[in-house]
Amino acid sequence: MNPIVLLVDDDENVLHGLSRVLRNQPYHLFTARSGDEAIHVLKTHVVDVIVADDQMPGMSGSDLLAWVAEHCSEVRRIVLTGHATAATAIRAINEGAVFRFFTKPCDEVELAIAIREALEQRQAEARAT
Amino acid sequence: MTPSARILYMEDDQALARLIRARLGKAGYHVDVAPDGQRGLEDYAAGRHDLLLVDQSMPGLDGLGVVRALAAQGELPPTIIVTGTGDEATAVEAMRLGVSDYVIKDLAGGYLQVLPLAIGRALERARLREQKLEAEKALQRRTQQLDERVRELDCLRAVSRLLEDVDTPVSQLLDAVLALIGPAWQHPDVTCARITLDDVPQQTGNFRETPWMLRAPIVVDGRLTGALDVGYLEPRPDVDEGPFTKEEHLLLGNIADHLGRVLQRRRAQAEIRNLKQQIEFVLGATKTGLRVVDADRRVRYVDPAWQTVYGDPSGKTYAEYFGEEDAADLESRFAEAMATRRPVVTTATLPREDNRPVQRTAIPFRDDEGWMLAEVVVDISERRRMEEELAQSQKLEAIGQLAAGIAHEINTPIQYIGDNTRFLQEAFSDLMNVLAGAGELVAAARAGHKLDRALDDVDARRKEADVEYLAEEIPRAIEQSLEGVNRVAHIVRAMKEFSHPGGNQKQAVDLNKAIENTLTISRNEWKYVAELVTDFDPDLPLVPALLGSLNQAFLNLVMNAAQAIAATVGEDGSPKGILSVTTRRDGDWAEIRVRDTGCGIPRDIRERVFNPFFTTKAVGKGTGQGLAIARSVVVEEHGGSIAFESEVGRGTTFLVRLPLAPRASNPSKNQPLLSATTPVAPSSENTP
Repeated sequence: MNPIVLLVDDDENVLHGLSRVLRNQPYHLFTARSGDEAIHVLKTHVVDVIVADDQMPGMSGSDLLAWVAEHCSEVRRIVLTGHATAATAIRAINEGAVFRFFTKPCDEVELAIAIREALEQRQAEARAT
Repeated sequence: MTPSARILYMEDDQALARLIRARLGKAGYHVDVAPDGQRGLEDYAAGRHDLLLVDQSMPGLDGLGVVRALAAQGELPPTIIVTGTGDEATAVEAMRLGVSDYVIKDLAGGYLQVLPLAIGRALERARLREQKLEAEKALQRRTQQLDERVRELDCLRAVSRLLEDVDTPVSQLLDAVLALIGPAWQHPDVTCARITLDDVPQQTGNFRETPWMLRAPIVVDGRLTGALDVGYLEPRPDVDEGPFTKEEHLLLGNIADHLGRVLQRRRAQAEIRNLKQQIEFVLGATKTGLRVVDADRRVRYVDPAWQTVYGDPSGKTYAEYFGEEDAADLESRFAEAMATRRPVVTTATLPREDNRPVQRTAIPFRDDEGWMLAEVVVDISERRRMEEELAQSQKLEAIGQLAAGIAHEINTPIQYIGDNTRFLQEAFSDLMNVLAGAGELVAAARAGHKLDRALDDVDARRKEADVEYLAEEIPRAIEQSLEGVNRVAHIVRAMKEFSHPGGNQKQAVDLNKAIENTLTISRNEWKYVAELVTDFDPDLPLVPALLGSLNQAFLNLVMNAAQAIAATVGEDGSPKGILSVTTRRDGDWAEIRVRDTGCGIPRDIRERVFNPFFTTKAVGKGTGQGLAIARSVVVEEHGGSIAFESEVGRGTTFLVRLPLAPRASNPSKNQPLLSATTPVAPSSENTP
């Protein structure tokens, strides 16, 4: 069964664009348009990697990743934010214990590589347990 | 004939003496008899006799001897010689010595008749001579007094003339006065003088303290400042006051008074000159103008800087000097200042001085000549420039604060435009691959080859490219990318329009567009907490406005609304609030309402929200300038009004009203942007 990567962004166009460039990668792409939606997906599917925007209506990306770190820490966490501030980054690293931190616009190849690395780490960890 | 006249009769013949005494006694004379010349002289020396009757022939000292002796003592008193012998030589000598008469005793006794007449004549002559002497003395005295007076007056006049000359230095002046004093005194050659001012003496070369001094005090400005001393170096006969006359004393007092008054005037003038210099220095250094006009609109004073531009103002009316237009302008301020008796503050530009902006304060005042208007003109170009820079920097600061949000707004479309473009690049290459397969199929068919392989190949390529997926996604990717490009362009344009300085002249502004731009650049501040509802009146006319300032005011209102909503939405994850912005026309006014469903403004701070520096936000979150600036922009720069209606927990609506036609210049419109302002209490007329 293919691993699952969850993309979270409040802007649908971003989700579409990422889905197009990542469509041939060896994983399923799920998308969510808010923190609440993402948590719903996380609760109903075995997600391996989550890529989240920071600023979103309602629950922010930092809040979401902090939630993930606490409730399903095995999910690898990547930030893709529109505007990186030191505060966002510190929070993502400390509370979200993120794997990678990207700012928009980011190179889709680099993002794809980061997702792969996260998956490999995730699988290595899964095999170890 | 004075009956009381006493006669001394020197006669050795006692009988004759008795006879004559009786005779003269009848004529009213009192006669004393001396028996000889020697006794006669002694009796005369006792000094009680008006006339001497002397017998020539006496034993011892004879009559002529007596006359000689008296003549040697000084002027001969009225003297008649009586002689029995008509000796001519004796008569000649007696007359030469100045006797009054020479009577010869004739035996007939006729001389007894003659004698009283001779005595009367002699006494009369003596009296006349006395009178003449007195008259001569009086004349001489009068002449001397007149001389004195003339000298005094000459001196006083010379002193006055000297003191009128305002340019001579004081010490030189005092020397000249000292030089004039000597010749005016009775004894110029022994006169010395000294003027002491503030304990510093200045004196004639020959001055020294002597026992014969006169002194007069010099009083300047009611204060004893010094003294004028005049003295004689040597003793001189006493006259009225020691050796000095009353007139000299008076003259001295007059000169001292005069000197005091002149020094007082000189000090006052020097003070005025100094003050004027100081004032003009300060005026020049601070680029401040000062002009004074009287009730006849004549220019009384203009500062040196103005004189270099407009020339000499003397005798000119304000209109002649500053021009008709300025004069008409002044007229209204003059009238207002006179009516209110208070300073009138206005701003203007000076057309003859590169249109530099100035603030004018017209101050009414009254002096001896009636009401005047002094106008202080302060250059405010620096202030204007700083205000403009401040306004611009505040706008840039606002943009800086919005930068994070704007970056997000731009970076997000850039992200998916980039992704989509990569996708299209790959898709194109995939589709070209399919097309290449199709080309080979066509070539095989034309050549009449078997087509199975070519067909399989096209199928394989189609499958690899996922043509169905591409057919569906490519148009969407293009569409979404164009949408992203439009978004970025829109934001960039809004930013540019928002931050444009706009100049300080009002221009016709499309309020709807201005508000839309403001909402666009601030979108990231409200979009996570609020749904935006706009209702713009499409028929709203253009409004004369300073676009830059107005953008700032709108931004402040929108940011406040967003923060008010965030305060309620952020806490419990409750659904977004509503930010609603509407425009409409109300008669001659454009109305803009910014409504939020935020926390509302607590009743106890409503009075203060427009005050500069008043803020309820955490340190670093708000400067307290937002609403103060908004009010300043709307009310002072545009002559509009701003008010609000608020309910705690329900939200706030700000209503801004801007006049559609330019309004008459508001005197306070050029106050600094951050000046203290009084809040406009919401009134029912202004609130929805």
